Amino acid sequence: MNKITIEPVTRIEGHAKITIELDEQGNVQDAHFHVTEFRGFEKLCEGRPFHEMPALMSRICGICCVSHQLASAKACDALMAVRVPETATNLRRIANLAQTIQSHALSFFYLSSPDLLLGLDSNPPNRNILGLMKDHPQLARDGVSLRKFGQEIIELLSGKRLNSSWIVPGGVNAPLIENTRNKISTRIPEAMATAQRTLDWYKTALDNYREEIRTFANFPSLFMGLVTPNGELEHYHGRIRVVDSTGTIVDDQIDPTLYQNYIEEAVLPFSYLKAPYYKSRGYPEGVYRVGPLARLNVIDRTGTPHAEEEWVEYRALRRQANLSNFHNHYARLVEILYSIERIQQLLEDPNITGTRVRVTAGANTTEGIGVTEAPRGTLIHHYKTNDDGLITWANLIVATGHNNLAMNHGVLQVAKHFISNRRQISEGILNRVEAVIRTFDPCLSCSTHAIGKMPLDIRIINSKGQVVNQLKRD
Amino acid sequence: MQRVLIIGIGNTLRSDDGIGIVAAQKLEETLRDQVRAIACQQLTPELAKDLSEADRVIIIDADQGKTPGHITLKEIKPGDHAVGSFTHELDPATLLTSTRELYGRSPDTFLITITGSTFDYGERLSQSAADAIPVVLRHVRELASINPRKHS
Repeated sequence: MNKITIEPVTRIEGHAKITIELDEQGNVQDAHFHVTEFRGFEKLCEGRPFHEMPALMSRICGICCVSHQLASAKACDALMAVRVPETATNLRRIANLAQTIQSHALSFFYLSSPDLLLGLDSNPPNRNILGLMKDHPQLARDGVSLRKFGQEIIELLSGKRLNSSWIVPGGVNAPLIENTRNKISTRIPEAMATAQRTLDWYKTALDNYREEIRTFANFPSLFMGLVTPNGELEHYHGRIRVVDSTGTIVDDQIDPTLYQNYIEEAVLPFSYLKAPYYKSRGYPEGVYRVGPLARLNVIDRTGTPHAEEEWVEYRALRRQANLSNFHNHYARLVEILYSIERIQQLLEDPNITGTRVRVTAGANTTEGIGVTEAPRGTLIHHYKTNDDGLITWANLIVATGHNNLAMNHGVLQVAKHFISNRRQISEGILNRVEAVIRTFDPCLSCSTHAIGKMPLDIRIINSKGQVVNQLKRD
Repeated sequence: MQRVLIIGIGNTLRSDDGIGIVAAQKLEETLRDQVRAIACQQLTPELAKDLSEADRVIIIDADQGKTPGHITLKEIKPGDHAVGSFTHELDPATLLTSTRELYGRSPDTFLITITGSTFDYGERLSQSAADAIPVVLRHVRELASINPRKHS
C-alpha cells in the first residue's frame, strides 16, 4: 500500500496533515485529515469564575473571537437565569453578523480566491492574496474593504477588533450611541455594492469550476443550522433544524440546549479533533455538515430582500439540498450580503440606541448552554459550575468539529478522483486535496483550541508503508 | 497638514512584546489631533487601505536582541512580494507593496523597533522597555513633524 501525506495544509487556521493510502495498483484506498495540534481550553477553564468565561473563551481564536464570546456569554446568561435586554441582544446580533462578514471575506478573498482566480495549478509562491493583489486588484480591494467593514463595526461597538470585554454575561457593557450608529449606517451602501459586485462576478465564473463542484466533498449527508420559528436564516438565537440530502426536514425546532439528545461525539485515533455525529443515524453514518452551505440548505427563506433573491438563484443549482462543498464559497457571498442587510435592519430599530443593555446577577443555576451560528457553523458552549459559580466542567463543540467526518469524506473523494492511477502527482493535484479542506474553512485553533497558523503536510504512503510522495509547507 | 499614521504591533500579554501597543496608545493620548494610531497584534492586508490614506506611516514593534532597550529606526521601501503561502502574517515592506498595488500610492514609512528583554506571560513592560518609551515618543514626534517627500 502507498501513502501520500500533505503536511502542512496551508491557507487554513491551525495545523493539520492529510494522508492518502494507495493500494498495489496505485488506487486511493483511504484518506485521513489529521489535526495535529492540541490546546485544551475545556480543561484549563476549570476552576475559573463563570463570569470570566466570555473573555477567556474569546482567546480561543483570533478570527472568530466574537463568536466564542457570544456563545460563552449566552451560556453565562443561562447560568445567571436572566433575560438579556432586547437592545443588548440586538447589539450582540450586529457584532455576530459583522464577525460573519469579516470572517467570510477572509475565507473567500484571502484564502480561497487565489485558487479560484489564479488557478489551482498556478505557481505556489504567487498563489496567495498578494499574488491576487497584483493580478486582480479590484477583487483584492473588495476583499480588503469587506473585511475592514466587518472589523470596524466590531471595533466601533466594542472598542477593539479582537478580544474586547464588551460582550459580558447579561448583555453588553456599553450602549450604541447615535454617532456610532450613523457611522456604520453610512458605510452600508458601499458594502452592499461590493458584496453584490462580487456575487455577480462569481456567478459568471461558476462554469469554470465544474470538475471541482462535482468532486469537492459532493456527497449525501445531513445538514444542520439554526433557523427562526418560521424557517428564516438565524445566526444568534433560534432553534436547530436538520435536513437530509434531499432537503427533507429530519428534525426541526430542536431546543439547542438539548443538543446532547441529538449529537454524540466520537474520537478518531488519528486526530485531536473530535468527530460528532448525528445520534439517530449512528456512527459513522450520521455525518452532518454545518456552516454556510448547511445554513442555506436548512432554511425556507433568508429574511432579507437582496439575499433572498440571491438565495433563490443559489438554491436553483440543485432541486434538493446543495451537496457540493465547493458551493460554500457561493454561500459565503450570499451570507455576506444577508449580514449587511440584516445589520441595516437592526440599526434602523429606534430602540437600538437604548441604554438598558445589561442585567447583573450571580450564578442562579449550575448548568448553562449557549448556542450560536459562528461564521463556520453551529457553535456550542456548555458549562457546569459548583454552587460558588466556579466552572467544574466545560464542553465546546465548534463548527470544524461538526464538520470533521465530512472533511474526511471530502478528502477521500477528491483524492480518489484526482490521484488514483496517476504516475506523477503534481503540486496542483495535491493543492486540490488541500482546497477541498479550505471549502470548509476549518479553524483548528478553535476546534482543538490550538494556537497559531495552520501549515499542512500531505503524504502518499505505499503498500509497504513507505512515504513515496510528500508535500510539506510551514 | 500631513496625515500621520502610527501602527503599534504586539501582544500585551507577553511582557515587552506589547511595547509597540503601549507606545501607540501613549502617542494617541499626547498627539491626538496630529496623528492617527492603530494598535494591533500583527500587520494584516486590510491595513493597506489605512496606509493609502496617510502621508507618513510609523510602525512600532518589539524586537529580539542582545541589548534590551536598544532602539532602531529604518525607512521601509516597498519590497517584492513575500514568497510562501500568506495566511495572516505580513511584513512592513510587503504591506507597503500591497498598498501601492491596490491603491496606487505608498506613503513614507518608517519602522521603529525596541529590543525587549522578556517575552514571558505578563502585562508589564520590563524596566529597559519602559525606559525606552520616552525615547521612542521623541523619535516619533520628530518623524511626524518632518514634511513628507513627494511620492507616487
